[in-house]
Amino acid sequence: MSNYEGKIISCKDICFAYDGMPVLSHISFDVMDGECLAFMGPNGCGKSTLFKIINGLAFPELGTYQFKGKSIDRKTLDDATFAKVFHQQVGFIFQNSDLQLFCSNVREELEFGPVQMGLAKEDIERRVGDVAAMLSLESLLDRAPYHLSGGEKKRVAIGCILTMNPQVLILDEPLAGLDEQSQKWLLGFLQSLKKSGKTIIFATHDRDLANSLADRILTIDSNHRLLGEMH
Amino acid sequence: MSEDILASQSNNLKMDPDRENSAGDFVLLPDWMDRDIVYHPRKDRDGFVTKSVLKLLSVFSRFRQNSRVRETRISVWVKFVTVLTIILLDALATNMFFVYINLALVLVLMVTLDSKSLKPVFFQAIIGTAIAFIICAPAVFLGSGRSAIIISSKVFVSVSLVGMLGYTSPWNEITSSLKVFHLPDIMILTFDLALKYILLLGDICLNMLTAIRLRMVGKNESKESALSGVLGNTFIRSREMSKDMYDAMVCRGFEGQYIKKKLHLKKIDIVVFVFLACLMALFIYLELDYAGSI
Repeated sequence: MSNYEGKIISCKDICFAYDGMPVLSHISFDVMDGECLAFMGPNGCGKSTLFKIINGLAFPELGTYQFKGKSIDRKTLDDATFAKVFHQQVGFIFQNSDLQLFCSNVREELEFGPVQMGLAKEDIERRVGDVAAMLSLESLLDRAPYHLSGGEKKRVAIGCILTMNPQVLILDEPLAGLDEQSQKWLLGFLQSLKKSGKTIIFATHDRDLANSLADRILTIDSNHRLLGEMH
Repeated sequence: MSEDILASQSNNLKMDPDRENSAGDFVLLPDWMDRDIVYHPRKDRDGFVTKSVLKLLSVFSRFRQNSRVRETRISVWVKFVTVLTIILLDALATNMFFVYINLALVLVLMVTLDSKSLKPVFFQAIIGTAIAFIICAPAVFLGSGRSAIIISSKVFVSVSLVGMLGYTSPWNEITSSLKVFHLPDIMILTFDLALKYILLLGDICLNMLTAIRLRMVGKNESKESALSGVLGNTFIRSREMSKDMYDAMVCRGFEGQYIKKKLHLKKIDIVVFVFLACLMALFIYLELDYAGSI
């Protein structure tokens, strides 16, 4: 990746529409390395679509998106090697953890990324062990993901991304469907990740979460435009 | 992973979610997480995930387009009956003239379609016709070229009409049209639910494939295991969803009876039926005329 002067993500004038219906309208923002950014806005304002664009799953019809100074578009992601490096560096945690887990047990979920990365067996075991310990998943390692509770699934979903050690973590509605205790725990955990220098971008409807975690809060209105930001 | 390794790491890293934590209660991150690595992925042939995602996306886009179909003035059940009748008459026709009339009718109807619908309908019809012609090709060499042309024309008419019905009518209304043929309402409900769950379960598959795609950051030695995971999870979800659906129906008073609303006839529908009656009369006249000429 090229020299990016601390701007890990840079979106300029992004517009996106589904079948002619606008979903994002002239969205521009930058995210600095190690920054924590929250997106707020009503349902259907385009937060999830914006996250898809940031993850290279959708491409803006107008405007540009750069990751570490490199333009991310259909053409650059056609390069399989670049796409793999990009996906290793940008970890996406879905709103619905159920959809993110596809292996037969939690251990395989955690191992999936590191195994693909071609890490040595000891490194894989170390990563799985560390992440399992961090997220209190040790007792769940041999259980099938679909037998877990909502909070446990969320922890596994976070864990399977963390074992790849991405530089940027993107979380779509991280507190959705979690009980109060799990929410508190996740907030503390995200604060730890932020403190360690990870760049975190998340969408939420929870003003308290945004205030307590984010360095900046960006709001998208129902007209799919960026309203402004709060620090 | 041995239990000892886990236990030793747990002492340093653990942050118990069952314990109330304050803002200052941070988890200690392992050293490998602090390091930025220069990652060089290994090459892999993993096009199947991307291809599966793209294929599913195109199917869903077709489903979603169908849910936003522009309402035509003619009732869907009338279109459904008309299409079935024309296909039946066309299949039974032995007179070339009737087949050509239907062909002309289909081409006129195609002109009224918008460009987004016209393209797929026309190409589907052309592909169907080409396959039919290839199958009939030996007949041409055996001196029955007329049969090959008639059959190909009939295929073009039938495929075009079905395509046009599909592209101009919401599928839930097409299933409702089955009431005309006195199909039990519960069977129509089953068709409706099948369509709904194709979309819902397909959406689940798509999301899981996307998750795999995002995590396929290197060489995957066991692709089939990831794919079977998607299928297995989708199967489990489908069972859960069907149970939830049944419970929801019971909660809403479902006792095995499902009553679909009656179909209504509009003025334009009567015009369509008059046209259909004329076409049937023409068919009978031409067939009798053809039989008399033999």
